[in-house]
Amino acid sequence: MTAGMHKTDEQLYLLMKKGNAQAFAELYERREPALYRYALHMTGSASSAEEVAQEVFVQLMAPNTRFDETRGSLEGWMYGVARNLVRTQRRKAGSPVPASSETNEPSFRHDILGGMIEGETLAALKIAVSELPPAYREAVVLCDLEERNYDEAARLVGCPVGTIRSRLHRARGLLAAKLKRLNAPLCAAAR
Amino acid sequence: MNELDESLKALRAEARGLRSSPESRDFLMARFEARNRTRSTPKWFWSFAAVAAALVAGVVAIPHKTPVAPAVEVASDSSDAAADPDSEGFIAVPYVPPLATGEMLRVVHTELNPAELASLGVNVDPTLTAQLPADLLLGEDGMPRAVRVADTSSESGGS
Repeated sequence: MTAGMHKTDEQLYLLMKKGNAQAFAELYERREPALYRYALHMTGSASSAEEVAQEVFVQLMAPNTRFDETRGSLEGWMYGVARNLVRTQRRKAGSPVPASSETNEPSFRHDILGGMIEGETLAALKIAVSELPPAYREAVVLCDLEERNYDEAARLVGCPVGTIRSRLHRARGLLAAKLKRLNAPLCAAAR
Repeated sequence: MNELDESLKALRAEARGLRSSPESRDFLMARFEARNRTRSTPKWFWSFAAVAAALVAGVVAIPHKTPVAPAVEVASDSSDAAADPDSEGFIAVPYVPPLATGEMLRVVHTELNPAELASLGVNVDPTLTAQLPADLLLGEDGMPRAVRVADTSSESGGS
């Protein structure tokens, strides 16, 4: 697609509101994967992530959509909806779901002697991320996993850049400590 | 921290291609299409339709044929006039239900244009554009049973 043909999210939104299915499909292709990954990292559940991503678009096409272009970007609105849905799911679930619970990943704790250290470290990281406080987890997901810069992350979360920066700093410290703790038995087994 | 960065990088790579199932996309597209079908008539259409209907009703309510002498008289209390409308210079209107015995008839003086007269079975010069005075023989149901182009010279009132 050339730059001239590229439509903004907001333009696509206006077109889809007029019934343009192609605009809706384009918006979906553009935004759904990141929303799904965001929800996946935040909930640790593939089915919940799919539910969240789908619901964002259901709300987007609803006749009473409360998106207001003057108050922010469409992407920010979508992440806002996704964040609320994740929060609702978390409330329903009662406690955070371990990241590996539905991804067919072998459980880190039950497979210590099982295989490759790298894979185990990854599993340990998923667990560590899932155990972070939600606000810290969100900063890690957006900045480290989705490679958003601080400004973008702050815009999507709706908080000052400094807040994102400090949350991320704190989250990384917690992750490093958790990884060290979770990897300790693994290293001992490898020796 | 280096180990953390490497792990985050690996996790990022692992999640890169992940997205919802095609079924989820299909569901949304179908829902979008269904929603569009139900709202294919926008709100303004109904407002427009209501205004148009009101206008049409208004136009219909305005009588096009101003009777020269409205509902002048009751013509006959027998069915003979309808049975033989030609008797008074009337021409029977084709394809109308027959009059019942004893049905009241009335004659209405009005003006009709050539096309309207032709539709009632009267042969008139199609080049004429002016409205012509005419008498309509109406049944109790208000339907014309016979028509007579009134002679302007004898347009003094009754039939």
